[in-house]
Amino acid sequence: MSTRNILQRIRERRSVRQQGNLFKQLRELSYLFPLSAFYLPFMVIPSVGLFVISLFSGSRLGNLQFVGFQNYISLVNGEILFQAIKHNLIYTAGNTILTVGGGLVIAVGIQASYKRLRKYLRFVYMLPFAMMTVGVAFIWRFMYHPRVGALNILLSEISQDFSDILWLGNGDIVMYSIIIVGVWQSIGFYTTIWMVGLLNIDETYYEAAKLDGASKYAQFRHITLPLLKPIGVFLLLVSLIGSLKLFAYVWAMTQGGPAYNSEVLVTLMFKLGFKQTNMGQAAAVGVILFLLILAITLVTTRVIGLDADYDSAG
Amino acid sequence: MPEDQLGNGELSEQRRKFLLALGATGASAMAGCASGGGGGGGGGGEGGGGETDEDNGNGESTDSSDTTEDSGSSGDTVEYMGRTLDTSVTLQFMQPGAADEEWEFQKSIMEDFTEETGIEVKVTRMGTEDYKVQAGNYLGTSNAPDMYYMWPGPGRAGEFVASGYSQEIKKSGLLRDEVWSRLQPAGVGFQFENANPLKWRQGDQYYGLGVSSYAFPIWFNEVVLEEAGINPDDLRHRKDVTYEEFEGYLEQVTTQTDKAGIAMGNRRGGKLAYWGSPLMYKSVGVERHLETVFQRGDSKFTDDEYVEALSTLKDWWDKEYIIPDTLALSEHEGNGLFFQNQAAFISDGWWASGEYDSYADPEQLAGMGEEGGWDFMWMPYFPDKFEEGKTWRTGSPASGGWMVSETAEERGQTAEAMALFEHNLQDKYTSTRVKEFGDVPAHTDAEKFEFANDSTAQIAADLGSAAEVIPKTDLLFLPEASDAYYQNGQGLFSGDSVETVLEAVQTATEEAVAKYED
Repeated sequence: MSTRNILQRIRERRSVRQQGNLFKQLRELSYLFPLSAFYLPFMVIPSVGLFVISLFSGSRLGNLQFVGFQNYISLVNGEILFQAIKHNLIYTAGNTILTVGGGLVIAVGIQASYKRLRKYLRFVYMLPFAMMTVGVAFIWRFMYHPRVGALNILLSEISQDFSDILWLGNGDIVMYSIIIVGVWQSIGFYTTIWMVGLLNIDETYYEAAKLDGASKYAQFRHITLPLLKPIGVFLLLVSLIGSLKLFAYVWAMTQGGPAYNSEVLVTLMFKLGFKQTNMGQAAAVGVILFLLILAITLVTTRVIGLDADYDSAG
Repeated sequence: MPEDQLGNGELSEQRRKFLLALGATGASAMAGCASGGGGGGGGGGEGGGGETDEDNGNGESTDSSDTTEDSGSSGDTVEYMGRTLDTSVTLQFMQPGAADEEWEFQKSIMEDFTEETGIEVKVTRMGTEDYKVQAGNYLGTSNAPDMYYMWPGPGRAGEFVASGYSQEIKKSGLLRDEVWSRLQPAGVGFQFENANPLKWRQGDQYYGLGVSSYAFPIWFNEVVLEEAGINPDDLRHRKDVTYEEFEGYLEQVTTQTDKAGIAMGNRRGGKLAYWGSPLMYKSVGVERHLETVFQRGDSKFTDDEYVEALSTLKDWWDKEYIIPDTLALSEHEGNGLFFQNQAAFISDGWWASGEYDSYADPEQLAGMGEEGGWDFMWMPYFPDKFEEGKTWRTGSPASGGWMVSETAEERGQTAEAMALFEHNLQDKYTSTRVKEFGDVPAHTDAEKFEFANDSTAQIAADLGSAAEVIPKTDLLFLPEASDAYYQNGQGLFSGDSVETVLEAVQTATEEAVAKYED
C-alpha cells in the first residue's frame, strides 16, 4: 500500500471519528436544552437588556436617549448607592452567619434530641419559611410598633428603659431589626437542608472514630464538617445571593428609611425605576447588583470550593 | 481515570465539571429568585402592596377589575355629551382605591354612563400606593386605560404629561367650553405648557380636570386643647395665626399636659410635606418658592431663608413638640393618636374624617366641626416676612382629576373617553361627593352645594378667597426632589442638619430639572 493510500485512509478514519465526536457533542449539548429554554429568555437576554438600558436615560422605553456611562457616574458621585451597598453587606453578613451557622447548630441539636421530638421541632422551625414574605414583614412591623408592639411590651416587663425602642425608627438599629426578621423566617430552611446532610453521613465514620477514642467535638470537627462542605457551600451561596437581593422586608417595613438607613440596592432600583421613572439609573443599579452577586459567588466558590473535603475527614 | 461511555475519561471529567458549574450557576440564580429561601431576597412585586392611602381617604390595597353591564350593538351610535359615540367600543378606566362607599358611588357613575350610552366601561382599581407606582407601568403598555385618575401638579400629573401619557384637552377643543368654565380653577393643577412639568401654571395647555380641591389645614383636638387650658374658639377657622403664636400653643400643650403637640407619622416622610411646605413658601414667598422648585432663577434650597424655615421644624423636634416615635409610625398611625386624644394638632386633608371613623371613640371625641370635637385652622404665617402670607393656603385648586390617555387616541376612542370624562364631571355627582363624602368642590359656583358640615363649607370658602393656593411638596416638587425631601427630611428627627437635608433636595432638584429642560 502506498504512503498516499495510507494517509488517505487515516484522513477518512479521522473524518469519521470527528463526525462521530461532533454528533456526540451535539447530543450532549442537547441535554442542556431544557435549562437553556428557561435560562436564555429569562436570564441571559434580560441581563443583557438591563446592561443596554443602563446606558440610556429616559422614563420609558419609547423615549430613551443614549448617555453612555453617565448613569453609573451619577450613582457613584452620589452617596445613596454606597449606603445601599453597605446596608446590603450588613444584612448579608448578619443573615448569612445566623441562618447558615445557626441552622447548623439547630440541626445538630435536633439530631441529638429525642426521636419523638425531632419531627415536631423540624415542623416548628420550617413553619415561618412557609409563610409569605410580605406577610411576615407586616407581622413583624406590628411586633416592632413602638407603642403597641409585642416586643416593646414584653421588654417593658424587664425594664421601662426598653419600653420605647424604635426598632424601625432608629437609623442605628433598623438594619439589625430587619436581619432578625430575615433570620426568623429562613432559618428553618437552612436547618432542614443541614439535617438532610447530617442524615447522609455514613454512621461507620462515627463508629470508627469512637473506636479510636475521638470526642464528640473531634467527630464534629473532623467528620461532620468536612463531609457537610458541599451542602454548606450551597447554603452559603443561596444565603449570599438571596440576602443581596433583599427587598420585601425593607419595602414592607421601612421603604428604605429612616433617612436611607435601611436603603438597599433593590429598593433603590425600585424607587429610581418606578417612582422617579429614571429607567437608566435603575438599570445601572441592577447591573451593579448583578456584578456584586457574581463577584461574591465566584470568590466564595474559588476560596471554599464545591467538593467535600475528604482529606480533612477522618 | 478509566474510560467511560463517552470516551476519553479526562475529557468526560472536564465536561462534568463544566456541567456542574453551569448547573450550579443556574440553580443559584433560580434559588436567588425564590422568596424566603435566600434570606428573604424576594422579588420586586412582593413589596408593592403598601399601606392604605395618604391622600384619598381610606384606600385599600386591592386590585380588582369590575365590568359594568354590556349594552349596545356593533355599529350603533349614540349622541351623548355633544358627541356621536360608537356603542361597540369598550372603555378602560383606572383609579386608586377609595373607601368602600365612595368606590361604590364611583362605580355607579360608570354604570350610569353605560346605561346612557350602551358603552361598556371596564374599571381597574388598586390601592393608592400601588397606583402611584403602577399607573406608569399600565400606561406604557397596550393595556393602558382610556381614562385614568391622577393627582395634580408637577410632582404627579406633570411626570405623566411629560411621558406622553395624556392628551391635551382644552386647547385641542376636546373638552367642551361649558364644562371647562364650570369647573375652574381646577384646571390649574393640570396646566403645563408644551407638556413640560417645569412650565406648570404656564401656557394654555391643560391635560386633565377634576371636581374637588385639596386643602391641608391644621386640625386641632378640642379635648386636648381644653386640657391644656386653651380655648378652641381662639383658633377655630383662623387664617392669621402666626408661627410664634402657634409655637406658644405647642409649648402650652406639652407643658400643661402629658399629650404631644403635633402628631405626625413620618415612617415614609409623608408628613414632612404637610408641615414643611408652608414653612418654606411662607418664609421665602410664593413667587420665589416656585422659582426655586423649577430652578428658574438663582434661588436655591440651600439659601439661608430656606435653612431658617426648615429649622423651625427641627426646633419643634428638639423641644419635643412632635411625637418621639414619628419615624416609626405611618401617617395614619400618627393621625390615630390625634383621634385618640393623645396629641393636639395634625395636618391632613378634609378626608381626615375617614380616619376619625377608624380611630376615634365618639364618646371620647365628637366629630368634625364647631359642634364637634375637632376643627381646623389654617397654617400659620410669618408676619415679619410676608404679611400676605395669611392669605396663602396649602392645598390645590384641583385635588386630583382625570386624564385621557394617548392610548385612547390610538384606539380611536377619544370621543367616547371624553364623553366618559365629562359624564364624570357632572354637578349631580359633585353634589353627592360634597354632601356625602365631605369633598371640597372645585367649582365656579361652589356655594351652591350642600356641604357635609360647616368646616368643609368654610374650607371651601377660604380656598376660594385665598390669594394663592400652593401644593405641598409631593405634588409641587419634581419626583426626584420630592423623594429626596421625604427621605432626607427624616434625618431632621435623627440628628441630621437642616443644611444636609436641603443640599440633598437642591441636588435632586437640579438633576430633575435637567431631565425636563428643553
